[in-house]
Amino acid sequence: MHPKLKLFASLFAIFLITAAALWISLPQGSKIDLRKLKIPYNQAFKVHLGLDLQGGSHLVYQANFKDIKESDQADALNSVRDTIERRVNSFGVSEPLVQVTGNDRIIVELPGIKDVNDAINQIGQTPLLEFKTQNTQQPTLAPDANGQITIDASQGWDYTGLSGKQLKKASVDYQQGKAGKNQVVVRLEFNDDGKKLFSEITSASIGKPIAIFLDGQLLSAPTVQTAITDGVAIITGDFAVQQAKDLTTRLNSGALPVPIKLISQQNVGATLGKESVQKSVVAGLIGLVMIMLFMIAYYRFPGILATVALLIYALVSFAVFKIGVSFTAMLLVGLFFFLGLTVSSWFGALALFSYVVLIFLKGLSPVTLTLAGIAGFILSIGMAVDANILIFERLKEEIRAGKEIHKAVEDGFARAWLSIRDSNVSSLITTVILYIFGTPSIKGFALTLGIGILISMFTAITVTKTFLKVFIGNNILTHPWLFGVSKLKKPVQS
Amino acid sequence: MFNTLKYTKFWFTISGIILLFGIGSLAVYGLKLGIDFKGGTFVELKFSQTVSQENIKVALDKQGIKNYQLQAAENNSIIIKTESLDKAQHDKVLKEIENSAGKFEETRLDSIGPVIGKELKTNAIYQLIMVSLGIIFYIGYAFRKVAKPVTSWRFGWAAIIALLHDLLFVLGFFSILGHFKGVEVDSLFVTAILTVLGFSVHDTIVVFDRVRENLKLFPGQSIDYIVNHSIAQTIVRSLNTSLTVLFVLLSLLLFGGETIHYFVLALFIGIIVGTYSSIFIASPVLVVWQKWKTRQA
Repeated sequence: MHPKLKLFASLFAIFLITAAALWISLPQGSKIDLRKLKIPYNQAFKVHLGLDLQGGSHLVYQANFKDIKESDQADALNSVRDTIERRVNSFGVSEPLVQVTGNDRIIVELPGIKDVNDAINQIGQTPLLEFKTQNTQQPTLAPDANGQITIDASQGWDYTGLSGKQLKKASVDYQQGKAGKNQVVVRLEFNDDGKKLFSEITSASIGKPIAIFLDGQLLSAPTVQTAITDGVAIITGDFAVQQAKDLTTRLNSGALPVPIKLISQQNVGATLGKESVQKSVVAGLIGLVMIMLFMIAYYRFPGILATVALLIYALVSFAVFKIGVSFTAMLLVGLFFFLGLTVSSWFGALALFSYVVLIFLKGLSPVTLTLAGIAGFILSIGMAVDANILIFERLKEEIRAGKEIHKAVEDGFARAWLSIRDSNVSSLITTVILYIFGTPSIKGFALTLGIGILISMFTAITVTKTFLKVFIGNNILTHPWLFGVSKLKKPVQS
Repeated sequence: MFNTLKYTKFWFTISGIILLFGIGSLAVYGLKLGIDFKGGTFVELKFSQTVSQENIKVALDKQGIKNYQLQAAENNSIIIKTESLDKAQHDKVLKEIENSAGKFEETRLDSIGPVIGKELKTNAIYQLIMVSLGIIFYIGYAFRKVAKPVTSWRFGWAAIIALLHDLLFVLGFFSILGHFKGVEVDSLFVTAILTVLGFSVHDTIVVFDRVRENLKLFPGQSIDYIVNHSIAQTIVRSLNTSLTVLFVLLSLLLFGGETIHYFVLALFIGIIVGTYSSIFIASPVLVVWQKWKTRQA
């Protein structure tokens, strides 16, 4: 491609990226809806704040597997997780997180939770499975103080004494149905105690339903056909396989009450979080302005270009935090970008293209900004300037050595590249290790710093170089003074 | 051209003296571990009006809590640090405080069990080792084509010596702060340390990069001349880069709020030391070592 044309293409690409980043960064504009174009894509991008910034609770539970066989431990832990998840979902917090970690831990995150203590109490209960028989009592339908009628599902049912304690195991089974078809059923197996109790209950209520409650919620109410003495109950019903599986998981979670213990708890009040956000934003902006003033004062004309590049950097980074990243994205974009800088600039276009494709494949998850994450981002602003400083110092040297400006720009960039590459790669190694081994807050720091380093290489190298070439290429602004060189020296003699 | 190497002994002495204090403090006082690492409970209570710490002490003593620390924070807030309390204990204590000191809002609670604390500590040490190894190998690899007589590993080791220098400096500094001002070391501090290591190597690599280039440009020259020349060529860049990062950190230090104050301070100190060591420690070590090897040969 003709050099001029190539320059124009780069400039256009930079402009496009900046415009897109600006649009995504704006609070109101960050939505992509392509359904009008008959493309099934519709997504809103918003900033994800960590618990320390929006307020909330981070809880770590440890399961006690003393009474559980090693082979069943993973299942038991998953059951506990499902149970906690079900309970947490009833708290009404947006985007709660319940996650198994390690061999015996469960992490619960409750953003914006108001009453943590109540939440902890509810989570900590062992799941409660109950079998109840029908009584004749009619549910009361009287309005309460607020004029609302609540129907208590447990009304009309009597406690039998049979509960999850006596359930040995629940499993999915198949049975010959009426029409000769295979039917999915849930099979319950009781222990000896339960066997006896269940046989008594069933013989007393033939033809009547027995209700199964989990945590006070009615699960199902099968009708008893015959007295059951072998301690095995079959729940029939029009189950889909998945439904039956879900039910067994839930029943097993009632039957396998693994005791859990709260071993770590971190709460942050919403006000404290808001203050932290404000403070870091102010600090970041002041830092940014200071850097810009310094760069312009010291490097003059290239300094102005560097500050523009820095603004683009801040915008693009913020947009990427909102859109999200993934391992594949970091690897692909990083690799293509490096190739773009070393082999051919076409790879640079490929880096951009692969990221856009990943956006549309929805393969990215947004970056959760924590306090440490914001610190990482602010620190990366400082590092972003470093590449520019390296280049400009080289540029000055080349100009001082008496080279003509066009040539000086080419050589300056080429020579600074090795230092930029080596120093940034070592920083990236640090961030990768921090990300792998870090606690959540450290991960946040490493992630934003890592993204920052990658984007800064784009803005500091590609953007600044393109700008410089555009201005010098037209033979405007080529006086050495503008580059911070007061007089041309002879090359340094050894 | 400023002759950095002429004053090698001077730089080494200064660093030596400062490090002696740091290591001494580390040996005598150690580091004051935060609840992240030793387990414990951290509670921040925001009262509607000013309360005297006495009232809170009364409540804590009544509940039989030992080894606690009270600390006033902004907006009528009080920070209480104790050994790890479980939920029942924590609830009881808060109730007692409400009785004796009045209404409050619990703005922050960190409660880390001793088990997790231990894990975090082990993890932190792993991270340190991994980062250092990663850096040695990368430098060894990046400088593999360096012109003789300096082997690539020697660059790696010189960078590591500078790293150790920075590490000990920051650790020593926080050991002294911990002893005299009660500043604690937590997992954020470890992050700061690791970032400083990354940054310090970043700086060292830029200088070494020049050394590598100049070794090719001036094949006949003495190592003294080449290193000195390289430092002179890169010193403006080193200072400017550190300055820009320090600008941001200063801004964070002044306006960034309490929570990350010491994290930012650790970065601030570390980056100053890191810049110093890449110029006045790493390169002179390279020269001294090289000369010693030549003398032996």
